Amino acid sequence: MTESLIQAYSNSPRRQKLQIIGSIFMAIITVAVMLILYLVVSARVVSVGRQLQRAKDQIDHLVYQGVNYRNQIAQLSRFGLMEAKAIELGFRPPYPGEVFYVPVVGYTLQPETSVDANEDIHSMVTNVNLLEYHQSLIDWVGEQLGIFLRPFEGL
Amino acid sequence: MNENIKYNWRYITIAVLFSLFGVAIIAQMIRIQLTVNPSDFPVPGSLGQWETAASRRGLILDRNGHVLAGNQTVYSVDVNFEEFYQSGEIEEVKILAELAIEVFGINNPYLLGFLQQEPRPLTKNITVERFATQEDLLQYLALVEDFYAGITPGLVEGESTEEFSISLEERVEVLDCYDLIRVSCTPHLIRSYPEKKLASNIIGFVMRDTKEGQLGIEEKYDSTLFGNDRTLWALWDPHKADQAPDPDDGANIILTIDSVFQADVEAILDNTIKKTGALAGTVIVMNPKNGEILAMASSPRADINQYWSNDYYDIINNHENIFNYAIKSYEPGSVVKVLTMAAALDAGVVEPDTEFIDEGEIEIGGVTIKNWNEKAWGPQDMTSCMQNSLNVCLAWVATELESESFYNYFQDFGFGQMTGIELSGEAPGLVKSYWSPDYTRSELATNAFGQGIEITPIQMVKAISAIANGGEMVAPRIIHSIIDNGYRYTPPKTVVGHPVSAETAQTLTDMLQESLQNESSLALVPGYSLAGKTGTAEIYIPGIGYKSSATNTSFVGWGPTDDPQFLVYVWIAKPSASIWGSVIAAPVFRKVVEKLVIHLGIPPDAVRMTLQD
Repeated sequence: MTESLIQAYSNSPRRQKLQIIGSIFMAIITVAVMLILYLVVSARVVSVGRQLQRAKDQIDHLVYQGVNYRNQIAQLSRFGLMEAKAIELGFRPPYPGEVFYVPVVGYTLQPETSVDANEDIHSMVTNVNLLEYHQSLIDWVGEQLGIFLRPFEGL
Repeated sequence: MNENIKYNWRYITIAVLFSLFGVAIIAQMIRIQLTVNPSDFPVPGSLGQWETAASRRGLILDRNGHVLAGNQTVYSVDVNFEEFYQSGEIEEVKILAELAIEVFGINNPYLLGFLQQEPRPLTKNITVERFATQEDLLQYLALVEDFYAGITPGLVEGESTEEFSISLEERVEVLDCYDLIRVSCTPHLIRSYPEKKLASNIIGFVMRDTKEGQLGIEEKYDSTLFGNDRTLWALWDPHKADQAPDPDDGANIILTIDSVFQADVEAILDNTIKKTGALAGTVIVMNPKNGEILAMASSPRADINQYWSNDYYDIINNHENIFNYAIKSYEPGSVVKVLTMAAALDAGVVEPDTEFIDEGEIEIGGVTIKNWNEKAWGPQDMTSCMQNSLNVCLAWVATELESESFYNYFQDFGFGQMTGIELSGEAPGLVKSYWSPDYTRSELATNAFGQGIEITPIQMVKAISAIANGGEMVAPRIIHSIIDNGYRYTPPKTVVGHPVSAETAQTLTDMLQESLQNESSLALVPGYSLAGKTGTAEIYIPGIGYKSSATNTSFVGWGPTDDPQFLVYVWIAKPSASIWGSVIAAPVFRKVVEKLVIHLGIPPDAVRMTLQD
């Protein structure tokens, strides 16, 4: 009796329609949630992208500013200006007789530290008085012919 | 059944609506496919704009990192006059044009004519200034802003110029070109030379419009210094924001010169030219051990920030390459005797004590050679021949050597060939071949004392390095290092031959040291052992011939003789105070060495020997 009542309840036309509607709503909600998630992520990407673009614009601006500041430093520390300030302060260049060299006992002059490879490795001897400067074309052809015929000598 | 029929219309309505929506989508798809102008529907992923990342031209620095050539940000200021006309704001056009003329100091007749013409022709964008400095631009924008705010541009009544400048600076932080409509400013970089004339003969300059390097290092290393501007289609799509171009900056170049010492040498040279009434001159200081140029002064020089100025027209545009006298060829005169004597000693045709009876003249190849004072000097040895700079003696030495050997030595010394120094416009000089049809034997005699032969000062420095450096000849170089993308390249010391033996070099150095001491030369610096030789050459004037009243005076010297650390070459052209190298060029050598020993920290010989002990 009880089972037949339950079966009658679940199979009633109204109950069956509600199940279909519920399923559709669930599907819609699922899609909507996914869309919202997509929009949130996309919006975040767009926002970061815009920030990146703005940052790059700022970098460009800072590069131009940096170039100008460096130029200003160079202008303010130029030789003529520094010399004028030094003279204004009462300095003047020394003469050779005014320089004193004091021997320091125990001190030996250390060679300047070089981060380069040994200079000798790079040194090369270039002969500027090369044979090619004097040799005529006929001499050159003769020489090349001699080199070519050398293996055949004695045959 | 009736119930179903009752609700059917609802289902039908919804179905129709969805169907219509679907049909609309399909219709739109068909329309897009069949449209006549596809550009009306750009692909969203392709929307963007061309973006250029302006690259920085590499810096040129001295050996201590002091900036000799840098960059400066300037702005191209454009006004969109067309939009003004379209909006009927004629008065605004007038004011903006007047402000531009006032602030930027426009004097270009074409632009001035356009800006002052009324009614103005309908033109879209007008570049009112291409190289506006930041200060000028901000002043212009502030005045334009004032105008829009209803304030009369310029000083407010009772406001001083200083107060105006301060108020302008306060507004600088908030002022932006893009805040103003119809006025745009685009930043870009131009070359800046903070030291102006200092070492300008070495550096060269960059053309503002074409950005091409001209003369000196700027031309020789144009492609190295030049930064590649990168232009690409930058998408507006934020996902692809990282596609914006990055600049490819040029490499920095570090020179071997010391700018402080260079300034000292330039001052000495300029003063000498002024005092002696000379036309021009050059001084080169080189380390004979490694070929590094410590200073290369040339006068006259140009302020390369203003290379277009009429004041510098002759220096910049002269076809005879007077931008840098150090690489210009000339007849050097008696300084060449050093090399003639070196060749003769090395070949073994003479020795220091070889005797020569000077009779005041000698005939070679049908030409009579005479001494500088046209007198006979009697019995001489080779040291006194050098000390008294006897043309007759050196001409005889050259004949003892014979043409083939003499010119082979000169070729070994590098005459007639460029030294390869890293400067644009180096002259190769001119040495006639002894086998050429128009060669006469008299040229052997004149070449022996530096006449009838063209040599550049830098070639002389290179050749003399073989004498100062124990027979080893080094190539002069002015580039210390190149730094590109964080990597440093240091060109190596280059030995370019051994034209004479170490013994010959030492013998000649001793001879020249002795002769300098004996003649109590004005080149001597107390306390330092120096070797050197003066030179005076008559100048050939086409149509007239050699003129003894117009001379090139020179001096070459090096020291300390037991451990040479510097080699100095001086050339003063056409001095009017005196025609002699011993009077004009020798004191320049002394003044330069006096500065040099302090810069390099070279103690006097006696002190140095004590320190070495």
